[in-house]
Amino acid sequence: MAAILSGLFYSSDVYLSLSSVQSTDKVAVVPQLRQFHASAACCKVQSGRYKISPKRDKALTYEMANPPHFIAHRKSWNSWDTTSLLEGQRAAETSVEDVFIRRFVSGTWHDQLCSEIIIKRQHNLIRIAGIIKQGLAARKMYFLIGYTEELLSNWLQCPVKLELQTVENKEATVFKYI
Amino acid sequence: MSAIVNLRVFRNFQQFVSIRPISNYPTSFRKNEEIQKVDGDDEFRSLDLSPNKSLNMRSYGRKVYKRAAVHPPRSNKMPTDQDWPSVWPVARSFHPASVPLPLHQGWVVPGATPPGKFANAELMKIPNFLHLTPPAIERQCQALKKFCTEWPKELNTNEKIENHFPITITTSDYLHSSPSLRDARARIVTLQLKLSSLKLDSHAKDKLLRLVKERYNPETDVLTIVSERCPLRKQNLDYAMYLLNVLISESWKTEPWENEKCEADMEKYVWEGSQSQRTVEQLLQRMPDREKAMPEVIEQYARNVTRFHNEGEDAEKISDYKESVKKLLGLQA
Amino acid sequence: MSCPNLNSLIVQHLFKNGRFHSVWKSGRPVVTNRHSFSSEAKEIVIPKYIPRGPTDILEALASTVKRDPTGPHYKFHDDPYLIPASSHAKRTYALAQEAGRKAASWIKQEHADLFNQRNAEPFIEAFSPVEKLTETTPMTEDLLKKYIRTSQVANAIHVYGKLDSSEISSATKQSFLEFISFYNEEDQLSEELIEERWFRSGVKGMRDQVKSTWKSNGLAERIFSGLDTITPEAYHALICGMVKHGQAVGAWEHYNQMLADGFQPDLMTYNSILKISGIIREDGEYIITLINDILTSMAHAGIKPDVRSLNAALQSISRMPITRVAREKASRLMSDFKSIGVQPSLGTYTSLLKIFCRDKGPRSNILIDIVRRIEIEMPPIQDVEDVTFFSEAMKNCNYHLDDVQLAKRLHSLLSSSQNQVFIGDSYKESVYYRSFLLLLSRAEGPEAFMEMYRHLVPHIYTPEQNVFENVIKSISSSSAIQYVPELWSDARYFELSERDSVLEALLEALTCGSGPDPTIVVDKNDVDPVLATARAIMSHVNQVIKTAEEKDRTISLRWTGSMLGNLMKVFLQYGDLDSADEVMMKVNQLKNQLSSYFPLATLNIFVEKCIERQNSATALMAIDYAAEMGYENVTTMAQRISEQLKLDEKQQQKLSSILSNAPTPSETS
Repeated sequence: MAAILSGLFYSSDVYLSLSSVQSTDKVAVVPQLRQFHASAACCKVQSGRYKISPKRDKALTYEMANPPHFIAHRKSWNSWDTTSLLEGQRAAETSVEDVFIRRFVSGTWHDQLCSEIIIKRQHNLIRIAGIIKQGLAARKMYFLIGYTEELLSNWLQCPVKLELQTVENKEATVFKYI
Repeated sequence: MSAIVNLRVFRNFQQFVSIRPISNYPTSFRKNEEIQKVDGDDEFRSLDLSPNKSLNMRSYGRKVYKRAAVHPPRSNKMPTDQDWPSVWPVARSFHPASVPLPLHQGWVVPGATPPGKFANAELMKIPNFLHLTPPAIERQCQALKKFCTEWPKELNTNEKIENHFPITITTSDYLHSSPSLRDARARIVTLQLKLSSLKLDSHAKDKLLRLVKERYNPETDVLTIVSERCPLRKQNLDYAMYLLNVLISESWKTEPWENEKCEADMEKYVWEGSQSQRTVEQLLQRMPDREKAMPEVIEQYARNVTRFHNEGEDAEKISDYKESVKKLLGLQA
Repeated sequence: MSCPNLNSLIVQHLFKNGRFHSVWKSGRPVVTNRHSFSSEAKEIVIPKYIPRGPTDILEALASTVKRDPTGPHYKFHDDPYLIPASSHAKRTYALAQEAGRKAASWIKQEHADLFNQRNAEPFIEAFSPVEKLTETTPMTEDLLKKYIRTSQVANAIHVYGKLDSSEISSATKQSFLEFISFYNEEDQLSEELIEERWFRSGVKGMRDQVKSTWKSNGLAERIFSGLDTITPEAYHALICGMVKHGQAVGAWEHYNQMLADGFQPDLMTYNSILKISGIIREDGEYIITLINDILTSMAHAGIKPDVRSLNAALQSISRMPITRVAREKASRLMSDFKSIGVQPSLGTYTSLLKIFCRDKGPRSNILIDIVRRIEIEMPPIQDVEDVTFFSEAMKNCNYHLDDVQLAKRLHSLLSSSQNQVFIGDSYKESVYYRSFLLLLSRAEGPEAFMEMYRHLVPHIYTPEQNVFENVIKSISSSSAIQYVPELWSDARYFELSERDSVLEALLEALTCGSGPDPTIVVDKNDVDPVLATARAIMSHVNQVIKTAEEKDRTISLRWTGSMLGNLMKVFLQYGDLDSADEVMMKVNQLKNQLSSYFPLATLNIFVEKCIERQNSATALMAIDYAAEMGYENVTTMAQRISEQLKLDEKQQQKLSSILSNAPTPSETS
């Protein structure tokens, strides 16, 4: 990181000298150059962490209650595949596909999911697991299951299977309130 | 207590009787309201262009589904002697209602009970082996047995296998979780062979070793040929076989120029016919008195010189060499 | 990985000094060794590779899995909320899922340009959108051939229309004629839509296949008449197509035309004609003559009939009105075909059952022989009719033979994993299980029956209303009251709990017990399951009626006098007097709305209990009801009440007013 920063600094130095040349020329347009701002590094990490609410009533699932550095200690991964193994293939494509699956499923099952979407891949089979609430009539759920499976498998060209667990309401998955 | 309750109910009941019209087709309360509303209007009835929300069915908000009776978890109904491999035949995500085990998973502060199996995403994440219980594996093995052939009885020891089938071909298959089943590494073919099984003579062996160089491991006597230059495994296999074929037939040939091999070309020091032997012989001719008593001394000298050349120089060998030279020359001290 | 074959092949080539040599003995590579291990210089016989198909391993693994009675069919999601119990739910869920699939494939077709990535390697054709026929698509014969191969009927017809028919080769023309005759110029329901086929065929199977759907003077007939040289193959295609789609008369005409033209029909054409011989000839004797004629001409032409010929002939015979002749002919046919070595299939047995076991005919034990035979060896599936056997046989067990042991044998035949294909479709499946369950409920004791019931219901089969009523009645007639609560909860899940006849039967069954069982209820807080069931039924019915009133819907469920009477009886039996009072209030509230009378005996017991408890209010209600209905002993009841209960003034007045209004026994009689 430090090496990259110093490199940037040098290059901006060159620009600085250039700009000074132009400004002496009394030309009206002085190019606005992005200056390198150097300050102490902000080491704050925020992703996957939740703030305590004033009334202490923010509901967290088990997944949310454990920040990312507890992965593999207190909670496990949401995507299971072989891309991270030695010489695993299609790492980038797989992550993009996972993002697509997550967005597609959470959009298709709008307001129904009570957990993260778990994507497990075995060979070319993709198994999508999750907890949903019993907010829709069962036949509508079946429609969505058929729709999701078929569309995703056509898109990803792999057989896709949905493995859902239903709970009565969202509160069933709450682990704690902060 | 019961008397009071009964009386209360009774009063209600009487009131109820007084308002309810006796009819087989009860009209709803709401309908009455509706009628009253229309009647209660003044003589001008307004033409309502916008849909009247209070009369519209949609005004009651989002339809609330009458939830069908949800079954209790089916694990409740499972008999204890059920056939588990039929209940859970293939790999799938954990489902609490189908697994009759009181499971918990999750980290909690020490002393508290971890989250139970219902609505527990952690249990759904981890790969389970509920489909591979020992009875299931046993049953599947039994079912697959009909595709297996028996191992030949004659090949009951490793030596016999090596003797009858000296060539070992190693290839790897790679399984990925991806839509593609291709992997470039699957083409690589490794051929291994014990050199002793070829029964080469010393010339052929020498030539072969010169040809294969580092592909031969002198410690295990194994020759390894790795072929990966062709795109397909089959081609690589053929190529490896071709290489082996060519190597062996080349080794057995003796080219005319091979007779030009001199001492410097030797792969190791050989006493017989060496310069050192000749020098010792000349020396002994000049020392006729010692000539007869010497065969074992010369032999020892030869051994030490050979070791010195072949195994490298160290203090012990130098002192051995010194001793044998002293003996040879008959020096005292 | 050791590679023995390769080894032995090249070994001879490699090892110059002749240490090894390989010989081929009886097709197996045999390596002999002469020098080392000379003491045991045996031949090494490497066993041959056992050939297997691409799915054989999967099938072997699948054979280790049995049907799990606690779980739903695998097409449903294994989650309590998503497991269907009623047959309506099963149908809806399966079709809803397929509708979702259809929606997704529609999107794939509409936005075909978005689905053109090729991730999979090797590429899977089924995941890419079907190429659409556009204006610019070049119309070639190859395209036509491709559509015929992939059975896209509408597209093929379109391409054929665009092509110059004189340029099409005769072979393609013939295959196109066969193609549209087979499909009757219509696209079939896609093979992918398993559920739709499963449920639709049931509806279709109820009608007889006589109905003609053949397109008269359609494209097939036009192509046929437009052929330059009419070949026998063209006749075959047309006749088979006509028979398949119910155009018997047309097929018969073409058949005669064909014979007149001097062409020789092939086996399939003969089979088709055999199939329709029961339709084109009305009378029994003529049918037999026609069948005989066809079979003799087959013999003359040297065509050996197969099992389908047998099935077709028997099918025609089963249409014959006279049983005796039909039986004789069927037996003759069976022995004749046996003598030429044609093994019957299950479809054959179906026809035999139809012939030998007529509704009003004498009892025939032919099914016993059939079951014995297929227990020894199950014939493979060979004919469309084969799938009708099991439902037909089970029906026969139930209505004709009334033999529960035979039914069980039949069921164990069907239960073996590879025989599941013979069940046919949803309609035949429900016929099969309906007959089976009805028979079991009649013939078995309650314990044995419930064991089987729990195995089949609800995941394999959901009983229809009348079957369920029969089940309840059989349980109640054997006084096995301990199973009634279970049946009640099943009724809830099967969506049968709003049918009044089911509720009547359930309440009737609840009263068959002998009162509380002290062994079940040990704890004070525990409620006897029977009592709990009675309470649940009562609150359920009240709830249903209430919501129906609120939502202004008319439903058929009403309280009846006998339902309330049975409830009251149970409550009195189990000493739950509060609930009994509630029932009385319901009775008094509804009075003449009740469609049947509240039983007098129960009313009497109730009044006795009221007197015991000194509960004058409810006692008055009972009197009120009895007076209004004009029961005979109102006066005696009223007297007892006024004597034995302390009544306040209002109640006294009421009692006297009731009595004065009530008709005296002499008036009513």
